[in-house]
Amino acid sequence: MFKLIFPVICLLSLAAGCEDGSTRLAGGTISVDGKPVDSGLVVFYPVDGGRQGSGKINPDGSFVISYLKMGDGVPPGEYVVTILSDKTERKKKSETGNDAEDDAFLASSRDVKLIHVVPVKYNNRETTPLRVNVEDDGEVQDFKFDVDSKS
Amino acid sequence: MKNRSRAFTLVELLVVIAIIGILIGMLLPAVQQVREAARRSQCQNNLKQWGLGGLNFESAKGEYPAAEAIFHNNDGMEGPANGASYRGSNLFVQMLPFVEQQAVLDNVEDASGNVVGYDFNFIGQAAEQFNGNGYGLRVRIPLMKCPSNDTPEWARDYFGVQGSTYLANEAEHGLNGRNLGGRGDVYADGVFSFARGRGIEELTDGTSNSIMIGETFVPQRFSPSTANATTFTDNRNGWAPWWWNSGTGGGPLERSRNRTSNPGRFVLTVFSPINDPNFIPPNGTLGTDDGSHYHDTPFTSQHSGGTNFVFGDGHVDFLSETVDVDAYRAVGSCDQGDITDTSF
Repeated sequence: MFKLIFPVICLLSLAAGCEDGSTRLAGGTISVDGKPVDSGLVVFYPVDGGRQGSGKINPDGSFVISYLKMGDGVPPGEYVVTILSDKTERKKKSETGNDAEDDAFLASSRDVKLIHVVPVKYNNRETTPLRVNVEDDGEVQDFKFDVDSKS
Repeated sequence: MKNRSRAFTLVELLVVIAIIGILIGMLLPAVQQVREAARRSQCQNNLKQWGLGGLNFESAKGEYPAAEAIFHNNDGMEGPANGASYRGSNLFVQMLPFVEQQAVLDNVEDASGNVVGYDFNFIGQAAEQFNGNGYGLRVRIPLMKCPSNDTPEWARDYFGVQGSTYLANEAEHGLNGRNLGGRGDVYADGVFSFARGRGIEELTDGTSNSIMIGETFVPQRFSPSTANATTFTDNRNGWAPWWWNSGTGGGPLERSRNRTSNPGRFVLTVFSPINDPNFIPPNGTLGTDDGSHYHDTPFTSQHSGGTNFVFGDGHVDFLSETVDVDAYRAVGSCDQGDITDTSF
């Protein structure tokens, strides 16, 4: 009997150990004026302190938040959300005649115009209006952020 | 009968083997842990050397080295405001004489293999050498490698700390900061600022509260390009070769070198958390597939659970990957007056 119970107890305690302090899957979509954003970074900053979770914005506007492992979500709790999505546009012609090469070098910000796809106030933890609550219920949590480009 | 009693039975043998097996099973992870601990302490020792190198540099020059040595360009602004300005050695090259590697600099070769040396005090000349010939410092020194990392042999595992504060607006950047668009930002509040060296008195948060150099093993970025493919093939994977100098103009070699001259190649920021999985291959793709946010490449390590850093005063500490975002940013900046929680 003990032979049977012991492994079961071990497994249960292991599972309980995993549950403690673990993360909840989270992701969603980012759009500006209803149109999906195709690149950038979403960061979830915990309100109560701790490590942030973040995820890259995919070309279709979707993102998946990662904490310690790829795509593992974040611990449940309240988060401040920032969205970074910038593009660059050249102001003057490339010196080498190869824009792609020069873009990697980006001689200076004066040669390159920075376009904030998502308004600047969403970039910063202090100014972003976005707040989310990651629930404890263990289901995948889907957050849709639609940003007004004029805000 | 007598013979039989002196021999082991099969069961006895099996039991003995099983016990030995269990003992080995218990021992092996411990041995592995000890080996990793040894590698970690080797890494900490390397960082200590660079930390002392930075302090020695400070004693000699009155400032820590700049992330990359910069020359005033033609419009008089500090920093490389356009492609015509000279961009010199990265901070590690500048520190070589202070970590007993003067010989490496003395033996700098030009493209034809002639030893031309490297005049530490006249970086312009050095930049010229590197610009023209490019082959200068292709010497591998162990001090650049963390033994736990599986980065390529030529890749550099240590990076300076550039800062912590995310500045969204170009106007918010001081002279020493630049916004590089979708590639993440360049910060100005770290020990190694972009265009010039910081004096020790500028570390107003305290030298012991400001991280100076840390490690990473993830590629910083790069999509393949013909220029890289024909010269430094390995660079396509985006690691930073440690000897790389900056420069502008010239042939494919120089251009490929230009790509690494963005300060993000010598210094990293604490914008992304330690061991941020978004950046770690094979699943992590940020900064590698599309070049976005590579300046936000995190400090990472293959030690379990965190990363080694050397602080401005030369002490080495292991920062846990679960460190609070504000505490991490507080140590990442050196002059923001933020309170550093040293409990991690």
